[in-house]
Amino acid sequence: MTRLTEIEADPVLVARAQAGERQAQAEIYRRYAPAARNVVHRLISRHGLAEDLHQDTFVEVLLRLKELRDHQALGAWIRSIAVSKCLMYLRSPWHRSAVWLDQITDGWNAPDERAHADEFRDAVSGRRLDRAMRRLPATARAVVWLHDVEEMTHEEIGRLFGHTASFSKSQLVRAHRRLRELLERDAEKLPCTQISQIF
Amino acid sequence: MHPDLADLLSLRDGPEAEGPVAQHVAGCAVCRAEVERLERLRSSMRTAPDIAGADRWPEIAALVTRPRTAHPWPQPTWRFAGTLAAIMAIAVALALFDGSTRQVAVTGAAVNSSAAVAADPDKNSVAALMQESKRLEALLAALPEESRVARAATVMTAAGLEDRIEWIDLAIGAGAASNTDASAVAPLWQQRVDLLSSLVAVRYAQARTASL
Repeated sequence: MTRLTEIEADPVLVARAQAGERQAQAEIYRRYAPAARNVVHRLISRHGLAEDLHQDTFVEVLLRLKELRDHQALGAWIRSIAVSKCLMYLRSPWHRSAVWLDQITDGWNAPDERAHADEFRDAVSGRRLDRAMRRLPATARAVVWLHDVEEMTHEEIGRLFGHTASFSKSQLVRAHRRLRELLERDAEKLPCTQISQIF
Repeated sequence: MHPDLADLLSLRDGPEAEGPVAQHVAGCAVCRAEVERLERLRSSMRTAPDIAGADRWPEIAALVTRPRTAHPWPQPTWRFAGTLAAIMAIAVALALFDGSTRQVAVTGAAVNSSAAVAADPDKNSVAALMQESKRLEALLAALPEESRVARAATVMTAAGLEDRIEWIDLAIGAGAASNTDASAVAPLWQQRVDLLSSLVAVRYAQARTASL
């Protein structure tokens, strides 16, 4: 998986994009969009909505690119904008309504969520982990992803949520406890030949 | 006794390999297996395939070149937040006089405490503002869910406040990412506290109206 902070920055490219050169801006999108998509889709499980937030992220990035002083930090900067967009959505009344709708439809999978799951057709274990991740509460899912994959510290995550590091730590423990339950429950439904592929 | 999950996660993530938890895990097959399971889980997440998606560059390029318009809602201003907070403080004071409930006291305390933070320069540090912000969020969470029947103006006011809080969060997040000086983000945290305080008051008024 490509991560935003691992992409090698090109200060000349950033400077050209800051000067308004359209080709350079397109190149930044081409280089960073796949990694940004990974973050947004892990935090927001609805495929269509995640795509919209991904697009909004790059509109914001390009409109505010002149504010970036440290060109080497472009990946981290894009990630902060992408994560903020996702958290803004998760806090919004629209998201709360969607959660309520999900509860009353109880287990019905929206077509675009099934499309999202299809991305993980290469490994049984990957599919199970993906399914378990999508069943976590949104905050817990965001915290476990930002900490375990994006390697953000508890202090950084706590700040993003307007809380302290303790909040992030407790959410991480809760997320892992729930993940274990979900993966074990999944394992009980498997034929014994596939048990070994479960975490 | 086995360490709990929080300890095992700290061991997995932390540099220390000689503490009491590490010593226990070194001699306990059950805990060692659990730490290894947590490591495998993290590794699987990190090696998951990239998610495919459509190329949206044409749409993005069009949006970026379009002349920027002002936000559909007014930008957060001290005057607006202050006026709204004052109106709500009066409403809460009247409600307190009118025979209070636990929630009235809670909301009154929220408004008063926010004013106290703003008035006392010693408390005006980012840490104090973050703490106040957290306290107000806890108060919001303690209030009943938004009622189904509510005046459109009240709903719009609450939604507008929430939108502004979200924009401030975005600005704070961007500041943290670019290592902006803490003193530069203090005004943003102050605005967040003011807006949250107003939102507590609006949500309280909404809940009180619904209960009548």
